[in-house]
Amino acid sequence: MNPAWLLLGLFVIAAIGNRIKRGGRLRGFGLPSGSESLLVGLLLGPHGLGLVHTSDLQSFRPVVLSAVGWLAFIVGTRLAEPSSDQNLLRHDASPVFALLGALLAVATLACVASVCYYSLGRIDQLTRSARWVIGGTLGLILCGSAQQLVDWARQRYGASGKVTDALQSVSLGGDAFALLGMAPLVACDLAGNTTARHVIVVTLTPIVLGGLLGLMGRVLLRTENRVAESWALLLGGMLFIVGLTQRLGASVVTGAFVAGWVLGRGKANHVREMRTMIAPAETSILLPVLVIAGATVDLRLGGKLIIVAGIAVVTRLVTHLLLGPIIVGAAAGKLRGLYGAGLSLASSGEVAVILAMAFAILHQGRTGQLVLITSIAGALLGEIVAPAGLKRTLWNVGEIAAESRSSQPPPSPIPRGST
Amino acid sequence: MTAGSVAPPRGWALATQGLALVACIAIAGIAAHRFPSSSPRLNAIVAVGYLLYAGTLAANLLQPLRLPHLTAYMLVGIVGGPDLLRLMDVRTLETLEPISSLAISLIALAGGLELEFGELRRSIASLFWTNFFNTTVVTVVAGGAFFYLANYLPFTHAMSPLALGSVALIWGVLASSRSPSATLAVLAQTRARGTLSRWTLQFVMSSDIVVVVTMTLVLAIARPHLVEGSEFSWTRLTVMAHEILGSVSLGVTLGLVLAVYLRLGGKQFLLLLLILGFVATDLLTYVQFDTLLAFLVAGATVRNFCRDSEAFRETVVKTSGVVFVVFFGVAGAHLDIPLLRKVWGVALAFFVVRAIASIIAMRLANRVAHEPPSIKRWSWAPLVSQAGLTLALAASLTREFPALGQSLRSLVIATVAMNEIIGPILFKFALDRSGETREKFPSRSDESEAPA
Repeated sequence: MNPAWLLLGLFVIAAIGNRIKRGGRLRGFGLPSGSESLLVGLLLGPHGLGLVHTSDLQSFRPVVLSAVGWLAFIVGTRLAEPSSDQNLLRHDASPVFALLGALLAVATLACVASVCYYSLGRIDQLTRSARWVIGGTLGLILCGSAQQLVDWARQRYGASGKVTDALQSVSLGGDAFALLGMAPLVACDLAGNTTARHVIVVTLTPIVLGGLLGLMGRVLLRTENRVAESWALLLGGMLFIVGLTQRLGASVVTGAFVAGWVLGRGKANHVREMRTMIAPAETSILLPVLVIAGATVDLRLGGKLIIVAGIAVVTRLVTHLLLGPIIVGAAAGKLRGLYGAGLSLASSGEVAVILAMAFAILHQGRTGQLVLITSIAGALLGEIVAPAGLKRTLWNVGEIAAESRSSQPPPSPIPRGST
Repeated sequence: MTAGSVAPPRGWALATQGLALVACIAIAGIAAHRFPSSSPRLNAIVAVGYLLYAGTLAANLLQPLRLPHLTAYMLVGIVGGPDLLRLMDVRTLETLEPISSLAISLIALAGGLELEFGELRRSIASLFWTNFFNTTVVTVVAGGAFFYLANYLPFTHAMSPLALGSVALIWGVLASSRSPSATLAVLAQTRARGTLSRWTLQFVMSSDIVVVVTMTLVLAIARPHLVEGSEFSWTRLTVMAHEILGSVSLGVTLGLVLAVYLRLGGKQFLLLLLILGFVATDLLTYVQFDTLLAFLVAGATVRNFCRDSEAFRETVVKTSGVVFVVFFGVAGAHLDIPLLRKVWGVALAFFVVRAIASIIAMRLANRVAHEPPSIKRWSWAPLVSQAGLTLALAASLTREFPALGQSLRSLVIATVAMNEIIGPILFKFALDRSGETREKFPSRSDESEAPA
């Protein structure tokens, strides 16, 4: 089938799915990680109807890369000034919380990467370098958690308070760490033929490029207020970053994220206007990306390596269960009632899928499949355990009011904004 | 805040944008020459980014000179194209072809959405006379000039007078073609409203059909004189009639489907436009119907049979604003600069003759149709532009007459290059002078203050 038609078909399916959810027909089941879209993708893929194949991912490459870059850019603008977002974070406290989140992410990354490095050595004859790169990537995609889960709790249960803020900031810190951490991993070659100089240069390239273009965008958006021109500048700058980083063999998502972050640090009114302008695009792009991610999964390609996906997800869950209460407790200033906080952080958000897609495009075949499958497994497991864990934690610390446990309509899927 | 709080950038804003433009070109240049990539599809991402970013900045920089945006987009394309800085190679430009399809469908759809049957009925006499004089006067004058200047065109030297006359006739019809894309782009940028803009839109869109029909007739007549052993055939005319009727029928069907979608409260306009631009265009090409005509009719159907078309029209205009940057940038990059340098003298002569012929044709048509003063004064200005339609006709000539098609096509490309660059500037000037340009643009702050 014509790849462009196929891609548009997936877009239509994602749009219909979103409309059904927003229309309320699945009232009560709409949960925050967008797993419905992933499952729809799996249904269309090689294990379902067989309409989409793993090889189609390469045909969609430019579009998927641009989409993934755009999403990373939006995450960057959101993380730049979380206090101005719809959530009600306390501006003064959020950087410290985010730092704690990054700390949790580092710990998770270290645990998952080490366990995966060891497991890969036992299961397959991969080189040391490949094991570290794959292990590191698995660690990165699993080190964060979906901040939209907290939005969900805020919207559905009226959650508010120190622990709610802490959980959201911890998620933000984890996302930032994961997106930045991708830069050195992309610079490393699976065969281990890279020099330290190459790694340093290719790691710094997206950061410098993203920073430079983000800064340019920030200045330009101050002088340009027309809608069409603002769109052209944002879109042009984004594609420029995506194309250049890809051509230089650097991390697309890191470049786009840094650009978004730098742009998001601009003057408040310009940033607000820009966010209002681009917000609707996030859901419109993310849902098709999730459908494509699900549709291009082929468990047969992963072979024995699939076991590592399971090991990685379990390791991450255990790490979060152990360290989550400590980190959230340190951020919130209390430990009582937070034993389930680790479970609250078990959800995987858009960042995990973005990173996995970026990696799968770069590394076709079983390694790419392993990372993609791990991200989907993480998202599905998170879907099952995280909402319950979060609800329990916030209930324990009294940040969910009794009367708000009613059946309010579910939140919009994944990020804020609508199509 | 109302729409239109935005003034064009001045002073330090322009300086900043100038610096950003230089930085953008420098970065793209370093990437293209120091880190070349063999994948045209990945290069296409950088190319689109460059065209959008640099095109927007260049348009702002040229704004104080009151030049149309599309001139800036084309200049950015020329600078980054294969003949100058080589930021985009030919293969990359070919990869961007689907964006051109999307642009053409948007152009036609936007054009159709502006056409109201009531207004068309009122201006039917004006349209008839304008098309009549445009086709006859421009064809005769431009064709005559070609016949007269044939000594300077090596590919015509071995031709018999009858064959030369046939080629001159083809050239004349090509000269009578106008540019819907340039017209729409200038109107979208200036948001012009008034007698001249309405008249231009109606005429340029209708002339598209007239030129296609005339060209088919002329080719049927010219073929026996240019290809040995061939005869006049009615089959060609029958095929053309099928094509036109088929395009209109499919356009009406598409328009009705769109109208039903809008009446049902559909809101996925962007997705809808992508489907129309890629899938519907592919289907129309497959059945060999005229995409431009089909989308034009679809737009007109929506406009006249659906009361909820305003939001859809707004989306089409907004999306066109971004797509035009890439479309005209690619058109600029496609310009064959070495060829233009080689034949610029003849091309300039043809450019001047065509412009004069257009002025004469419009004077005659305006007198007969009793047009209002603004049209009498400026109606020639929008007619100088030429772009995609003319190039498409020239490409079909290459297939039709392989022996002379390539040389003729090169000459067409060189002449169109001049019309393409100078035409939109003249049109914008005319709109400015006739007071139809609206200097106000929707701003980001309007969107952020609008209710969700």
